[in-house]
Amino acid sequence: MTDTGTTEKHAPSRRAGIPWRELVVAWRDAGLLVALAAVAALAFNALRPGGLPLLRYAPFDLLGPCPELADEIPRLAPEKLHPGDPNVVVVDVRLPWDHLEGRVPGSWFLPMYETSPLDEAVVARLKAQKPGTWIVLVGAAGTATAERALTALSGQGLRGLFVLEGGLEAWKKPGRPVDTTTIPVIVRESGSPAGRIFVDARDDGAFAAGHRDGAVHLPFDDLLPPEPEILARLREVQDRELVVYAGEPVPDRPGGHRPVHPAYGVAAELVARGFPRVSILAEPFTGPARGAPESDADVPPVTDAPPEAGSPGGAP
Amino acid sequence: MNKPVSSTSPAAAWIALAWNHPIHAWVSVPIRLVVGVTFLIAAWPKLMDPEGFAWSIAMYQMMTPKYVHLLAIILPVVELVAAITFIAGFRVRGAAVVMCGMLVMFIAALSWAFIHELEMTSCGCFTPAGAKALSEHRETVGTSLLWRDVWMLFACGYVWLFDTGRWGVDGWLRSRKRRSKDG
Repeated sequence: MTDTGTTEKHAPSRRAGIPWRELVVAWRDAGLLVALAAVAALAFNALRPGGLPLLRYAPFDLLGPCPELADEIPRLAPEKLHPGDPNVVVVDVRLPWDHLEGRVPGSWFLPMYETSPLDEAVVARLKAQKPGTWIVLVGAAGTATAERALTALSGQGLRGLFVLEGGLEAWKKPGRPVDTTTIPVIVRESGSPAGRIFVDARDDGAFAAGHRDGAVHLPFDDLLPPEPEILARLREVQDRELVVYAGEPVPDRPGGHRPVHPAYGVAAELVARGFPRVSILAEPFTGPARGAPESDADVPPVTDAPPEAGSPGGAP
Repeated sequence: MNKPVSSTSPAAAWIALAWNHPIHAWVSVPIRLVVGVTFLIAAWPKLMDPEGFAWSIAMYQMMTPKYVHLLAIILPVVELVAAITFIAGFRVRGAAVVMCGMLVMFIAALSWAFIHELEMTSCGCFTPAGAKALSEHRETVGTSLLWRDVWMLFACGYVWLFDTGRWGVDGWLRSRKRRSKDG
């Protein structure tokens, strides 16, 4: 264009005007150039060792966690949560009876007790997730349980943590699906107890005064998780039916009642932690001591075996 | 295009003359070299360490983390390709538009960081790496980096408007085509 004759000097000439066409064509060329470069970049990234995943599912840890500031807690709106996404782990940090009565499908169970640290086995499984996984913590609306769990987990080095905004109630509101689990209730003890192991949910004094034959003592406490040693013993016989009883009658539908019935509380603990065969004995134990000493039970004695993991995947 | 303008007003004719003055081809060459080499130098470490570059992008907190990797993968290659074509004078105006686009993006990002005082927005409990990077960022933002980008934006705009690619592949291709036509 302009690189042709240039001999005219300082006068209006016959030369070209403003090259509008070239200026516009440049934008087309720019688009082509960017498209070409983008394709080359994606191919290069796919072929190079250690190429980045195209999408990132965890926030960048630019700043340390600031748990003291509520506004700094990363929150996720319920509509942005897609259970079943392989890059997302949903963790229910509520207590077991709440977990059984309704949870986001596929939730892991990691209860946040008032006075107890988080289950290390579940935390280890969370740490083993691939980098970039979002960990969405679900609490109950109006409580700070999920926020406390987030603080505790980020203190253990986990990243990509979010609190589900509004808790489970916000998730349920527009009719989104929830998983529930019902624990079977045995009205009266009958049949052969051979395949069963009784679990006594009463307090220490009541258990010492008397209990069913071979019963394992797992007292109900809504502030503390079950003793890991006792859980480990029960794990070894978990293929047998665990029948939980207490000293007071169990309502027809034990879930949903507050305060939580001791037998239901203990049974919920076991179910939420993945024990496959748990039921509740509605009939209370009020009789005189007729049980054999606990050590005679056909449940393995306390060992140093580490407690087993919870029920990640929420498959109680 | 390139129609004679003898019938237009004298002002338009003077503009046309100034626009097409051969000096532009000469002025553009050093601009292309300086800006192009700057982009080449900038692209190389990003290509070598895309993860680190992704963190740099994330530090601006301008986009959702989900797409940061995508930008970190594509942008360095766009820089590289644009810089090479810019220096070589191949589709030079198109390359200049790409450069302008990237520079507008960089200026917007730096301005964003400057306006939002990114290093002041949190409670101060930065991770060591984040604190170091933000501190370095604070030293440079609003001074040399921003003005360097503004200067390069004007330079690339100049190339887009005035450079015909005479000294480069475009000019060589044109002269070759002309020669083959002539003879």
